[in-house]
Amino acid sequence: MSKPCPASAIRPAPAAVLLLLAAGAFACATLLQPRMAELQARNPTRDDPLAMLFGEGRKILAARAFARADIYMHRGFYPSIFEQAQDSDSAAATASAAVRPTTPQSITPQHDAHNCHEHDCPHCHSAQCEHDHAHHQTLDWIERHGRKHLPSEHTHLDADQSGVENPEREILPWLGLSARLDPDELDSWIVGAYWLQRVGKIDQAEEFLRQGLQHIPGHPNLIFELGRCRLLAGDDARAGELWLRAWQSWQHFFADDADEDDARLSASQILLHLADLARKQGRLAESHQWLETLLPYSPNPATLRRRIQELERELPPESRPEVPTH
Amino acid sequence: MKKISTIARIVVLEMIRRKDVYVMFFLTAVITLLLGSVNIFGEVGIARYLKEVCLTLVWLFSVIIAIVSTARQLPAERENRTIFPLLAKPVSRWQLLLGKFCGCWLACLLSLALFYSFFIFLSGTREGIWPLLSYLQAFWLHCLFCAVVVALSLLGSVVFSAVSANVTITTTLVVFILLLGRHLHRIATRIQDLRGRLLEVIYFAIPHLEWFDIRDLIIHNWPPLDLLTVVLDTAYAALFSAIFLVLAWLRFRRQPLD
Repeated sequence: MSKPCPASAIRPAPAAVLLLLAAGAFACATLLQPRMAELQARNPTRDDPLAMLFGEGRKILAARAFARADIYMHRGFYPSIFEQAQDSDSAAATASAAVRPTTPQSITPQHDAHNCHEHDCPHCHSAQCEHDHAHHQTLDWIERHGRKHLPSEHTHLDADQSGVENPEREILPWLGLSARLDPDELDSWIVGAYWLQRVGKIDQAEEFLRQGLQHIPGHPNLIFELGRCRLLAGDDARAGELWLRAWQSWQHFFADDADEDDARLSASQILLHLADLARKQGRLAESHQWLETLLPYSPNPATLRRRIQELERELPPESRPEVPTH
Repeated sequence: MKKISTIARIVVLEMIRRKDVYVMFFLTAVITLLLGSVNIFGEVGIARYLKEVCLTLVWLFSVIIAIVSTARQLPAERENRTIFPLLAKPVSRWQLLLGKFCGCWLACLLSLALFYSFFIFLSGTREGIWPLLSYLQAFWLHCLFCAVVVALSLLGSVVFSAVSANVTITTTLVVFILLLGRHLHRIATRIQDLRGRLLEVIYFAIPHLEWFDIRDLIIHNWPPLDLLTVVLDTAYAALFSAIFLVLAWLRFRRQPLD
């Protein structure tokens, strides 16, 4: 007859304990997973590690990255916040403000003459475009000497003489980061795509804009830029379709604030490109109609009227067709 | 002179034995190389953002190395009571101070040489250009910056009783000068009362450490500085280092050691 085993002698095997714990953990996981998935689905930034890391603070970082791109565009030449404050305070500083970039707008496509068909783009005549090489007035010898250790001449990346190939691409990391940190900010997508076009990366620019459209669906400026990419790729027909879609989208998007500066600038760009394309393709009447449509939105109607009159001289009045879409 | 060089050599050896510099170098290399591996629109050869990150880390770590390593020199000698046999050698107090200064500065130079070698290799291979004169100027000006900071930290170590207090105050001061130093006069002109005057006095009294920071010129491939500017910077750094060392000696020569 065998002796009864004392209770203290019964020791569970470590492997069995581990197995039991693992089974318990697995059971908990199966119970909790659907609830977690439901909670995660409510969070639109669930898959974005930057959003998880920085929260809403990423918008501030995005603005900093965008400003950094502008600093790179000017090869490190940028006013400090104190110089900007002094410029805005002092009436006498108007002239000196004219030589320093004051906002990141100087890297926007509007800054470039490419977009300014009418030469009435406010940026092209703004202080930011004055390529003067004057310096901010120095206050003392310390500042004067200190300036030698900083970029103190207004210049752009395209004037870089260091021998680096295609220096304009240097701003791309900051624009990419800015768009990634704050995907709801339109300028990051537009400016990023513009500079990608400038460095000859048309496909990448298109891809970038499509990413932007996922975050800001149907925005006319993004569709317009897509059209520009197609135009640069030599696909005029698709470019025309996209600009037409951009104009339709504009009417929907800016229905309530068509008089705002941004809306007018956007309308000007789209309609001018539509008019130019129609003219290029020999559809003079359609081009005329687009220019007529643009008239209420143009920041410089007198120049536009002259242009319409020039077009009218080439056009028999009786052959003016209706604009396809309004 | 031999006594000073002996003390300096001991300080350098001590810093070589410590792991701080290696850890900081490893961090700089890892962070920079990780960022360099990011695909930016399929473009290879984009270098300026990498140069900026790398130089920022180099500056950050150089400030830490210069201040922390210098700040603990004299307190450590006191704590271990090794200062007594050292001064009984006989080594005078000014020789001890000068030896410590030379040792710490030399250690900073060595670590900077390591950091800058990595930076030059990285930017050269990435950009395909080698503006060595600009890099040499950046390195030398950075060394001058370290000289002033080491002297300042040495002064702090004879003024403040605790190492932590010295490190905190010196770091705050250095960062303040680097960020705001060049703007103080501009701010002072906007404040009309006594505070404005005070700011103006501070502006003219502080060492303008921001002069030694030519990162923007390096990152954006500006031409090198002219020789006269570098010579003036060297003289300026030598002057301020001497002022801080003399102040430290004036304080240290009559200070009780225990």
